[in-house]
Amino acid sequence: MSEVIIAKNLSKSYESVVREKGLKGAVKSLVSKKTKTIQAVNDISLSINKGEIVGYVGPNGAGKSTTIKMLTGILKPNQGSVQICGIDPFKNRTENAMNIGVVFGQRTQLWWDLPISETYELLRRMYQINDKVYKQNLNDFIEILELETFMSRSVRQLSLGQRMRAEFAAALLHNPKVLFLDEPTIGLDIEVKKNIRKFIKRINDERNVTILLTTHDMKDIEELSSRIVVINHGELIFSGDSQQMSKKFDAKKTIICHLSELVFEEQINLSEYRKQGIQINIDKYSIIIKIDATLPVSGLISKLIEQFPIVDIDIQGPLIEDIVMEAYHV
Amino acid sequence: MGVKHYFKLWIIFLSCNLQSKISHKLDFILGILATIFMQGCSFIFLWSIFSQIDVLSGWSFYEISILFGYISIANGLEEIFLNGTWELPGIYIRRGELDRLLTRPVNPLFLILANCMELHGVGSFLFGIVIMLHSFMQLGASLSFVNILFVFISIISSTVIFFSINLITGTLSFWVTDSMPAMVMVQRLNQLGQYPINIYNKVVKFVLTWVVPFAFVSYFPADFILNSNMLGLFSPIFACVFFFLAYSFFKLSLKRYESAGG
Amino acid sequence: MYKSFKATMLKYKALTSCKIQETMTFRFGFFTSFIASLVQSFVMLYVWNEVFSQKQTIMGFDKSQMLTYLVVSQCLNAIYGWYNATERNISARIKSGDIVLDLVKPINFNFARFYEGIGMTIIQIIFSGCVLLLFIVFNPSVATPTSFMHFIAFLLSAFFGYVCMFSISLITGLLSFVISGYWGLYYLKKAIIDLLSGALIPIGLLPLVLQRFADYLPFKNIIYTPTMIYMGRISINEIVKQMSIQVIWAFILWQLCKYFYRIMIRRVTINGG
Repeated sequence: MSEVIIAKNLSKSYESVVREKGLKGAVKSLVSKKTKTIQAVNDISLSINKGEIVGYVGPNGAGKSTTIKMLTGILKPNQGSVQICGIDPFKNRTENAMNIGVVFGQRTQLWWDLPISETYELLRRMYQINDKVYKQNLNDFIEILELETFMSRSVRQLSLGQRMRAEFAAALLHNPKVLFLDEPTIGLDIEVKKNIRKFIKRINDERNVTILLTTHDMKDIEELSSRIVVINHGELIFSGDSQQMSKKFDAKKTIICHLSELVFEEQINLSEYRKQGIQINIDKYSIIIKIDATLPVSGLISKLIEQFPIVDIDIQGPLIEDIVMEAYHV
Repeated sequence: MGVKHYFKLWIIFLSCNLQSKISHKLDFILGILATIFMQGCSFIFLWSIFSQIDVLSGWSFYEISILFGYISIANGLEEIFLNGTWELPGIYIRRGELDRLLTRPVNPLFLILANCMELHGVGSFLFGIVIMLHSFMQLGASLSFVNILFVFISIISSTVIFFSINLITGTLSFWVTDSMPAMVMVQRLNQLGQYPINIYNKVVKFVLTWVVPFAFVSYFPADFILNSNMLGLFSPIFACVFFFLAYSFFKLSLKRYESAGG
Repeated sequence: MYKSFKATMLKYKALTSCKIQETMTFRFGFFTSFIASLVQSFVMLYVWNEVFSQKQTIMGFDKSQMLTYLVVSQCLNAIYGWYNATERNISARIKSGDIVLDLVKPINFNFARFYEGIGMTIIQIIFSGCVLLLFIVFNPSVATPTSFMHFIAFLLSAFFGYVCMFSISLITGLLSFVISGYWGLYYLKKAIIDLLSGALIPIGLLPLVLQRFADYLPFKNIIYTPTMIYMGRISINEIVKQMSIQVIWAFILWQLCKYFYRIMIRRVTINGG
């Protein structure tokens, strides 16, 4: 499989202005400027294959947007190299621009006072899109994203969901090979989020578009990404699929057994279970078990059913949220 | 990405801008009125002065009106076609919209300019044309082909100089938090170009000629037409050089932006 | 009642203090915004210099008197000058919808904007005052106020002029509900007011038609009246008369502010912000 995005040893540092609080500090800052060096990204290497959807997560300030900027050619890394489809996005900006599409969740590229068709015409001319291709794409997107209902209204009259759908179409009109999505589902209601995710999956399937998705919404990650990359404090913490992630970060399943009678700690050999890596808590009428997500539970449960009057069992798989949170704390 | 491509792209931008501005009719009309009044009021100042005197530093009322005309026209044209530089500090740099421009397969400065056309500059432009035509007629200037050609060319070069000055001050916002006040302050200096530069002291004359060359926007072209001052003939060449300097500064600053991360 | 008054004052003082800090944050802008308003003065200085090299007096003003007029009027103008952010703020907040935050706060909207305005202009007032002082000290042509009484009258008159100017700004800001941008209206207003307030040129020098306009509009109050009081060119009777006109206009304009504010509220509640 060909590698579409190759980033090697990327590093980036900023100079940031430091200012004291209050009126005194404001006056001071008029005359002197103090700066502090911040290492935003430290030696990150990434490799993304054609057709992958990679989820890029990390807490705020982790260095996500800095990395994305370096990958899209907006920012020059202090060290390291980037290749998108074999092109250095920084040296060959124009060439690279034809290959990439960008959707910013909080910003729009659509002209505010005009219907979306005007923006699309503009993009057609800008990217020199072939007439046939343009018409085909436009019709496809109108159909899939249901743009027909609001195509003639000005963008300012559209809801966030409608705008987002139009935004996606705009980013894909020129058939980019790589799509960068920066918080694409932010602020959207549940139904629209579902539809956008469907759309993303679809264009990935049908057009084999490689997607790098930055998001705080874990459902996005769960539903879309074949691979997750976690970054924190400017460093790469983890890169792999959700299975590997569960393993690495010690993700646990939670099993709650509801009982018809009170149960006491002495009745269970807690230390025996702890040796196997199973954590058990007793809480009056329930037994709460935390077990490694990858281990099968049927044996354990049948044993407990023999021992105790269990009337109901809840099993909660490891939430990606929890795993990612674990990852953040590494 | 040839010239033809850029031109066709620019036409679409023009169409979008027109549609967008006309959708706010009241704002559009107020804008035009505003530019007319802005030029008009400083012109009334001139008129009031000339109700008391006949000549100012050897220039008559109509001769100075030509200076006003040049400034008005250059101002107007710059606002209509080259106004994007005013959005550089706030929208593109501070808000970060410049980043998106850098993902486009088109020259970023072109996009900055094409995105923003302030059509109310028409007011300034028309005011300037009217004043200029009227003054030329009153002065009995000959309508020779050479004269008309020169006026036409000098108007373009004046606009380019006007724009280049704004490009430089706008580009400063790559280096300083917000260069908007500096932009406005320097642009305001164009008022000095409304009068013959000999009323100013040596330092100011120098600055107006070689640092913030508003003298080449109005005074020298007019001086060439009225008094055959040869320096005026070179204003178009000066315009080219100055624009080259301004654009180089912009490119340099953009490189730094990409390195430092804004 | 004193307690509640004190509390209110503290509220507004906090606003003022915040605005002063905010204003100083843009270091570059802070210096240049004031210098920018000097450009106009600069041009006029040189033009008048040139004019007075030909004629001794213009309409009863000799060179030093014109210079005094210029300095005082421009110092006043700088205070309510081009960087008056009141309209800009209101218009921006209306556009972004933040205006609802202001409407929800337990502060009178108009007064709140007024104190914010003072916060922004205090620095400019200090600067203007210093500039005026420097001119008086270093340039013998620029006169001091004719008498102490005149000076007090001048300050009072300037204050009323400020209220007038502020009200007009506030109304312009509120009007941006009807208009999507404030740019056109603001610069149109600014151009007209610059001309008819005496900022550009003493009213007496304008073409007669415009002088008539100036008499019937409130703009004359803002700069021309205070400056003429300063220069002692108006008799005591006239001073009283002119200041009364100022107070009346200030009152009328403030009422207009309230009226436009009510219209705006209605619009907001109907359109949902």
